Amino acid sequence: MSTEQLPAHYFDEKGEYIGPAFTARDKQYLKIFVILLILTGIEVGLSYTPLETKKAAFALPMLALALIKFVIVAGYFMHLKFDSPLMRRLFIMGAVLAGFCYSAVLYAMGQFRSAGQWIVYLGAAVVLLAVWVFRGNDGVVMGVDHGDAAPGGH
Amino acid sequence: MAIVLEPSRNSPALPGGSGAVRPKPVSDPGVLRRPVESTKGIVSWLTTVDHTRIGVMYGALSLVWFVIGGIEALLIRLQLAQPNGDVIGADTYNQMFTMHGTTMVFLVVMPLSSAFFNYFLPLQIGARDVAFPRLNALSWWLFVFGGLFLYSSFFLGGAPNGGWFGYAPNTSITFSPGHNIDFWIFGLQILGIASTVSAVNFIATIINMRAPGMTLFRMPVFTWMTFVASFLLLFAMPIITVALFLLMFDRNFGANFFNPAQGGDPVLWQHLFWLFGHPEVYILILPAMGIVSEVLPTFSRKPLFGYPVVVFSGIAIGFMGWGVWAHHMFAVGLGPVATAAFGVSTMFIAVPTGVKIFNWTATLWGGAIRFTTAMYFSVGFITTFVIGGLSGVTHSVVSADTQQTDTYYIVAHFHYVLFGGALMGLFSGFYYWWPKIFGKMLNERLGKVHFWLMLLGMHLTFGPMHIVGLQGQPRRMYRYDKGMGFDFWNMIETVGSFIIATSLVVFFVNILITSRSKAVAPADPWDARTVEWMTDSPPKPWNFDVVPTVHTVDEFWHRKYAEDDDGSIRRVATAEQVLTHDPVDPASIHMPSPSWWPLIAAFWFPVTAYGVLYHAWPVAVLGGVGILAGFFGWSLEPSAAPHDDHHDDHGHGDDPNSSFGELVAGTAH
Amino acid sequence: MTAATVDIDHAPAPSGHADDHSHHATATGLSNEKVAMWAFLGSECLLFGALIATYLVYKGRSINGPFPKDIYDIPFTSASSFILLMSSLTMVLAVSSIERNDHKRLRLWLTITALLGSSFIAGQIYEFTAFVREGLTLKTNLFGSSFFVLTGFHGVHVTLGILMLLSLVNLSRRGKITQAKAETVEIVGLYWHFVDVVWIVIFTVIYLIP
Repeated sequence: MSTEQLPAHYFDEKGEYIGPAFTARDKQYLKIFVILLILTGIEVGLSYTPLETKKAAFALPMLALALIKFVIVAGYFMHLKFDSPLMRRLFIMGAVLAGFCYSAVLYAMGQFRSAGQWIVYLGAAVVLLAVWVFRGNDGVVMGVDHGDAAPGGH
Repeated sequence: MAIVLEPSRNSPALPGGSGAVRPKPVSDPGVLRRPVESTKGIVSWLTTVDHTRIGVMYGALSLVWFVIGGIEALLIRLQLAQPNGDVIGADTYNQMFTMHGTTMVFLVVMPLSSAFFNYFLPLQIGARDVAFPRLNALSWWLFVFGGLFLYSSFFLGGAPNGGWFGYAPNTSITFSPGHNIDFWIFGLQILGIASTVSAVNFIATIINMRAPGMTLFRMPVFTWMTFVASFLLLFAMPIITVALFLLMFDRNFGANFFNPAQGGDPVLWQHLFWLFGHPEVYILILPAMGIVSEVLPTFSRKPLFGYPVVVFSGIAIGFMGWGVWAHHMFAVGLGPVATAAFGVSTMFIAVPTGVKIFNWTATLWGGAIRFTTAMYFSVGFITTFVIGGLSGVTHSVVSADTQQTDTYYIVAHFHYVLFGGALMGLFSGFYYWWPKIFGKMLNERLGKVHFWLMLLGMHLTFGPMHIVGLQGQPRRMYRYDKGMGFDFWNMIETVGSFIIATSLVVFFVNILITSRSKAVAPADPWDARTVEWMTDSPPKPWNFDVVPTVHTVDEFWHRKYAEDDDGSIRRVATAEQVLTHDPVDPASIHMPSPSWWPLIAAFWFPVTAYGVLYHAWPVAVLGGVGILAGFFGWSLEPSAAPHDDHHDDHGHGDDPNSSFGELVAGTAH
Repeated sequence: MTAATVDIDHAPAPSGHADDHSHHATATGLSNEKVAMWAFLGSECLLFGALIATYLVYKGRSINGPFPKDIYDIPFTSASSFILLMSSLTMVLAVSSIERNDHKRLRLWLTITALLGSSFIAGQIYEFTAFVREGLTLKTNLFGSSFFVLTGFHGVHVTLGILMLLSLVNLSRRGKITQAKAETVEIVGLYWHFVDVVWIVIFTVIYLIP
């Protein structure tokens, strides 16, 4: 995307491009990894606190942390945040369908009925989070009724 | 590690290394020589990756399974023709109704739909083939081996006997000690992989392989319904995969998932099964709806009434189909909230279906209707499907459903939607597209005989089941006592089933006569509307000499007809004129080459299954290694044979240089 | 050394053997393989969802022990989770390397990723044997059945991922992963990250929440 003059040490003595060991993007990946690590640390730490004995009060923040990690890995490491919206939709369809159907199964089979309303709040929060992370780089890819020539194999 | 860090002596040509030598060209022939020369004979069919050939093979084999599943149905009807029948015993009866259901769902209606997907999806979107031709062949071979595996049970101790729904704990090792259920588990597992792979393939094809100008809302409705059904397959198959795995671990490795003695809950099986099973119902019916949406406009000489509405209601059915599964389980006692929610959602899903019915009817309204055989079957579809749909709505009334559960009323309902619905639609497709596939017309007079016999037989067989069902005749019972009020109607049902069988004999005679006839079908026998008719019948292996640029829905029609200033429709070109184009050198069109790998990779799946089934671990390991080796050999083979240069930018098939992607996508589950 | 002008994200192969034919025109401009992989991963969500739901349905319903709290070793599993998370980082670095045509580092990062994955699997084998020694098998109770099947399925996915990574290393050594085919690496990476994402959910939902 960005085009720039490359420094000399990107090339070996024969003029072959070898590139930097880490690019700016790699450093961003490293930052994201550190964030993931911190979130995991909070999770493990929380499980050693007295909060652990309180059922919903413990489970909900834990679930929230796990889902934030999920969204971050999908968004940055799997490039969903930057990739075509189509990929996002394919994956989100599966993930949301799984969340909906299996929550319903759990409810129907009598698990977590008391925590039901909290799960709904959490679900809403996760959807908002996903929307925020996955915003950006939108645009019509599928060419739905946009004039005559859709982009296509010639 | 060391090898990786220091470029080895053997590979001086690594890109990014010294760069002095070009790397070995990627068109390495792979391990097996590709049979590129064979276009005829057995080898060409075993190694084909051509979507039209695969489609024809799907259709032919599905019809064979259809006959077998039909014979099973006739045996069931013979047993029930009279009270206290003793044509077949209880155990055989259980095998028959299980295999009838499993066969008709997984080996007939799904693959018949798949036959039409394969053949017409690329043609309808103006593509030369599907996105992954070799994965397509893999799906086909897995379907072959999965079906053979399932039916090998008849010779190896008895066929599956737990119903097509396999309710736990009846399928547990305690109540079903033989291998019957294991054959069902592994057979469905193999067929499930086939379906998942083809779902991925068709989704990628529809998203990526459309001709220039073919936007989503210019796609024919059949393609749209294929799209929706593929998504349903994609998301429903993993659920049955998991359910079958859990059952496998219970039966073969002593797990407790459905073992009540350890607290296991058989209701979990029902949830997982119907969470798959209900979308599956729409997987079966949506392709038929798509076919009907092609046939009705053609023979009414009118555009489909409310095309976007039909498409959106198909999508709505696809989404809502995920929220209704528990209506199969009202008798379980799910609690008032879940029961009420699923009852309401079941009523709601009738809305998009009803919308479609109105659109089809409105398409007929005021049209210049030609009653061909294909049209008969489509109109027959609408009428019987409405009856089946309405009896379906009665299931959403929970109190009524509790009465209907496990009676013949349910059997009546789903045969109206699956036989009167899905199969009628598919037969409509046969009559409509036969000249496209084989270049010959099926006999119309025999076709109409086929239709009337089938319609009559269908209503005689399944109509009375509503009555005896509400009177209390239970499903899956191999006998009933005299004087329960069931005798008369059961005899009528049996007579009806033989009328259906006769109608199929007429169909097969028709095929035979047609295949011997020398008469060639015209290029555009029906005055059709969509892109698949804009090429030869049957099409060349590359489908289109010149890939059409699409400007509108019903592209072919709009190239033949124009509207005058006063609004009247005028013919501006014949089909032959539309089809005429400058000569194209076939050598300039590059198609994917045939390959042995799909067959080889698929072959090891049943081997693995036999190994696990008989706890013959070396065989299972051999099979597993075979699968991995098959995919590895596959990944080393470029999709086009070496002598092809890669000017294949006409949107054919997979990228010859990243066949590894296929490996990745192919190692599903 | 020439003063080259290089696109950072898609640096051209200086020795000029980038494959010009690797990008087909598709109706969306997206590659078939990537669309297929994302569709497949969407499907996998329902696969793992079903297994996790099975575990949760049976949570607290086992009749006899050992129960989760008797047997889970949170520090050990935290270490395994760290290893798998780390492998996701090395995987993106591998993709990043091939995108700038750095084949040495591609193989380095791929190998490290495979090694980290293998360590995770080794940890899982250790965990399974430790559990069996403490009396928990597939047959013991509902917890044993659902735990082993869920984590076992995940382990099989990781193992398949390792095989793919090693195949990539092998293909790269034979010069078959050109920069123009960086997407092949990215697609294997998608699978690998997905397996990691599933473990993120399993770790929290299965191990940490009692």
